Amino acid sequence: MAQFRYLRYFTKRYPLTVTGAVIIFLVVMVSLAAPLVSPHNPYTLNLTDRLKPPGSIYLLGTDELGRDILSRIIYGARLSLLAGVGIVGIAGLFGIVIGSVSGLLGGKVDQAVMRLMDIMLAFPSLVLALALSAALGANFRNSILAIAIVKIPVYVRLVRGQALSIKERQFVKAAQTFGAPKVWIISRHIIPNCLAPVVVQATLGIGEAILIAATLSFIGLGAQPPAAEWGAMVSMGRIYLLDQWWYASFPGIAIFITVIGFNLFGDGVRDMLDPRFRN
Amino acid sequence: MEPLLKISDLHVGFLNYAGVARVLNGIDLELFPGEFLGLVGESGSGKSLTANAVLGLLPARSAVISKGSIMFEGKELIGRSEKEFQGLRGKKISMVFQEPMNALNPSYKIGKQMVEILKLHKGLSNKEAKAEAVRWLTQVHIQNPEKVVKEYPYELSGGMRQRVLLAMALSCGSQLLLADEPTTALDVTIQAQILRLMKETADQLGTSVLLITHDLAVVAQTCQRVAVMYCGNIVEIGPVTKVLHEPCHPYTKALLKALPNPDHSETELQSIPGSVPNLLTPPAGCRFHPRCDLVEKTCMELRPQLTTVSENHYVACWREEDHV
Amino acid sequence: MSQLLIVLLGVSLVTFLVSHVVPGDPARMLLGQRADAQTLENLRHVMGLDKPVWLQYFDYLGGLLQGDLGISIRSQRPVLSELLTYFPATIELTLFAMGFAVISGVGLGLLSAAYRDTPIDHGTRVLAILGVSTPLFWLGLMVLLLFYKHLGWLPGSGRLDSFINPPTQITGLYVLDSILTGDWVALKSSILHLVLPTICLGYIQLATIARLVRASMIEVLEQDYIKTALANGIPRYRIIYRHALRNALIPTVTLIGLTFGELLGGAILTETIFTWPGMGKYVVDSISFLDFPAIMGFTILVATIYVIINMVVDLLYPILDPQIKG
Repeated sequence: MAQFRYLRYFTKRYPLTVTGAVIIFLVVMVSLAAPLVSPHNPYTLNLTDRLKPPGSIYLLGTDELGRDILSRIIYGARLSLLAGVGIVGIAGLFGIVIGSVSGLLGGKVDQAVMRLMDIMLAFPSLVLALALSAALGANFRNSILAIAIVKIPVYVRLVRGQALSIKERQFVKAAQTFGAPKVWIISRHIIPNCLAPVVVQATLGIGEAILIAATLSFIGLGAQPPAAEWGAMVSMGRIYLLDQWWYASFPGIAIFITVIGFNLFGDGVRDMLDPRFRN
Repeated sequence: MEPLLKISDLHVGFLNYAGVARVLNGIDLELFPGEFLGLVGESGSGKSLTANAVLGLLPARSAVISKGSIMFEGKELIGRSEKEFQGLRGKKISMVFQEPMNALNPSYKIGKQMVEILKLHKGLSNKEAKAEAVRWLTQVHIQNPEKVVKEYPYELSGGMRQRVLLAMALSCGSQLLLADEPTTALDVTIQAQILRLMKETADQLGTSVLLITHDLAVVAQTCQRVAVMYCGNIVEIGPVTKVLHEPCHPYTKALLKALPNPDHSETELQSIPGSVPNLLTPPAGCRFHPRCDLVEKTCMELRPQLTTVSENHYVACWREEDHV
Repeated sequence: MSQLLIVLLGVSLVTFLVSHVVPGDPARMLLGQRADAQTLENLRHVMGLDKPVWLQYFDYLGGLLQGDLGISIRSQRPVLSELLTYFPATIELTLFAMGFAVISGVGLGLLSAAYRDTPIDHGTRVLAILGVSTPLFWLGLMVLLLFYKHLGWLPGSGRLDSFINPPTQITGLYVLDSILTGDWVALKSSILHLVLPTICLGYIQLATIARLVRASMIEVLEQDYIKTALANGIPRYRIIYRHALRNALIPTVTLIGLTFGELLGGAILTETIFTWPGMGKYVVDSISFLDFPAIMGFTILVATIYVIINMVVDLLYPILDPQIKG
């Protein structure tokens, strides 16, 4: 009962954050229960029911191969969540390792690393992600890898900043005077202390990651047919846009809502943890 | 003589998530033409707020004037429109602030900032206003005023900026200057110069000054009268010589004891025990009673009013007769 | 200036890594999976891929300095000259989107700071969250559906109506060229064609700019000099547009440089959707032909423009902020 009251207070105090959390929860549930909740098989072709408008059998219509768009959207949630979490996970992990090593070692290594990060930031992120995933080869896994690489500098800078300030704290100085090895300092002191900001940044970054992943799929560099991926679906639907509006519209709405969920939630988490951003 | 500014029974509250903080709890204050009145107290006692209330600069969304009146030149200021206040500010009543570092707009030259106000309030042409700006900089003893008008604030020292701000405040002929800790952020030597300049200029122009400070030494140097504030109340008011040499309120005494005394450098500095109370739930009766040595039952129940001790010297304390 | 060269050198290093090291075998990439071993070997030699990596980089850099971005697989023409034909269209679209995003973003940010915590302010907040959450490619399609198909108000593809001749080429920006040559028919048509892509491309950046302007306005409005201005009787509207705005715009200018990069990235999608014949559409078309040199050429060109724009923004700083001059 007490928890319920707290939840109600929370909902009232942070309505947008809670909305975000609810959206994320629903998307996660739907993607986990995809085989149970989707009315049709997302990959089964049904050439007699091609490009059917939304109706009672196919709630959101069908595509040019007669596949049920709703079912494909439901399965698509899996790929988008995987992309979002995968991208910030990989970028965050590399960011933590590179950033803490760079911050702790300082000197030439640090300078070289930071220069490289600056240069990566000299590319508009979509452009670099496009070039990288084209170089790696067009598939879903590579597109995630490419976006993750492009996002690494964000986390490196964050973690390095933290590492630099933690390095000056008494307990790290003390550990150093006792001859503690660098690996130990990094794993015992620096990583635990910069985890919170990295988590906030990652939460904020998931929405954007999902968006870029869908974008790469849209231009043909991400998930390849017949994968049920939202960006790729919009891309195919584009051909039929003017006559079969539902094909491109609904997968886009799915992206839109999911990304809003993550952005609302991420914004809220940041506001709660960082008073500087409070209004 | 008619007072230039007369504040009576002023109550101001601040609304926040936890309720209403009663930050001014019935202020009575009179300021006469040409007079220098000091307003002292710890930070949070409501000194600056009083000055902001006079200029209509209380934050509109959170501050509420629940009671009282502010008369300037015999006219009520409370309830005036923003537009009417704009006509008063800088023209009849001016203010200088504590932080000269950031009180001038970093993006505009000194001259431009002075000219803007002169054109606004005195309707001068650009050319006249420029000449007037230079004249005022000379008035506040700035050397090379023609050069200074062409400079940006960051090119000036703190003392210079405070001179510029003083010139700006007085340039449109204000009768009342509200000086909110004008020298706190400056070096001691510069402090003395600025105070002397303020006194000299105000005397020359016949401007009245309300000098807000937490520094009794500053008051002793410049003011004729002083009012001591504690927690939204004025607890003692009177001529500087009286209040500083024969203080009546236990709080004033404590403040004086906390002052470093150059003659007895070996004696320990005393701080006032306890801390400023929470204004959301202020103590009943005399707001100073939790920190007072002389506290008795009445102090905890009833609020003391200002009563006469000697000529022009008033104190708000139940125990005042007992220890004078 | 030397800093610019260092960054550009770094950019070339990154693009070299992406184009020569990441794919493993660029020759295989050019020839495809079915090429025979001999052809592959020959091409490797011609491309210098049998040399050490650092030598390859110098060759690559030397080529770049002479404007050699490689040969397009699709057209067999130099990538640079291909890109340059599409360049003006992209710049025209980006500039318009930039103008739209900056003007309305600053305006909205200003309004929400001046009317803080009112419906206007909440409105921009919602708009900002929607802005960063909207898939640009989908937005473009929805806009086409509504304004082109259903309402029929605006054209949905290309830079001009098909029966109108482009204005005489001077800058390559149709709006500017048609003004310069007094070609009012072309002017009207090119402006109408710009409306939808401009709004789509600019909208997403607009919200970001509005939020930043709001935040920095609110910070500036709490500064002591604003109190001084208030205490001197300066009217509120004048305080906002004269005393606060200028100081609030200083941090915003940096964002505008960054926005330009985002817009160039976004142009890839907008141009594809509105069949706008610019570099973005060119690069997406190249993807389906696996035209790798074209993709990399685009990347280098965009990065170079982006770096130069940000350098220009840095140079603009002292004009806005007198303290930097000192």
